[in-house]
Amino acid sequence: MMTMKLGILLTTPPSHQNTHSVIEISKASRQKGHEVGIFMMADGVYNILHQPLLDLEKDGISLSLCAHNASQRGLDRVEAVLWGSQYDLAVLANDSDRFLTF
Amino acid sequence: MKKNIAVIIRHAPFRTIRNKESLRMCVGATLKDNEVTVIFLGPGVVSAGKIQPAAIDAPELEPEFEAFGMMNIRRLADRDSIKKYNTDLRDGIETVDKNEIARILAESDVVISW
Repeated sequence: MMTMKLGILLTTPPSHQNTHSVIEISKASRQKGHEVGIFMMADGVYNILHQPLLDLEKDGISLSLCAHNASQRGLDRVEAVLWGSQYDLAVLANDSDRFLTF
Repeated sequence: MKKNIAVIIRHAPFRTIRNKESLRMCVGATLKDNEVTVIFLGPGVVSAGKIQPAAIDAPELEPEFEAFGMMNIRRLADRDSIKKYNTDLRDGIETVDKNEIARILAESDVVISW
């Protein structure tokens, strides 16, 4: 089976159903051997406060966010997440075989 | 490899900073050799209009629209939505119908909906 790279943009906070969907899709994709990258921006950066999403990093899923948005919201850095920029999102969208937005 | 990215703005710019964020994202998406098209649809066309968000303490969208011109980001607005929301569009925004929007979305490598 050909493995693919899945890119995911998450813009909603963990109170939204989207977070659960992203976690489950990411886990299922990893189990199939696909590469997964998640970028968080806008209120999506609040997902770094949600441990089940952070745990995805242990499954080999790359997590990054818009540092500008995180700083605006007073969030502190966490080890599992790359404190990135819109450039990282541009790279993720460019490098992914499939790209999903939540 | 160059990719075509279509970004759909579906919501009015009031009571939220998401539109500002989505427009900023459009500019950022050009940083990796991507060709970006932003499509204003439904209430989203209000963002493409000559509005004064500062009057209600909402974020100004002017810097992002200025950057669109510099980064060659194509700007489209749905004809029916413009009529429905009685929008006076900013300069540099093309008016298209839904068939054209559907064609552009089908030809895009990535579609991001806000």
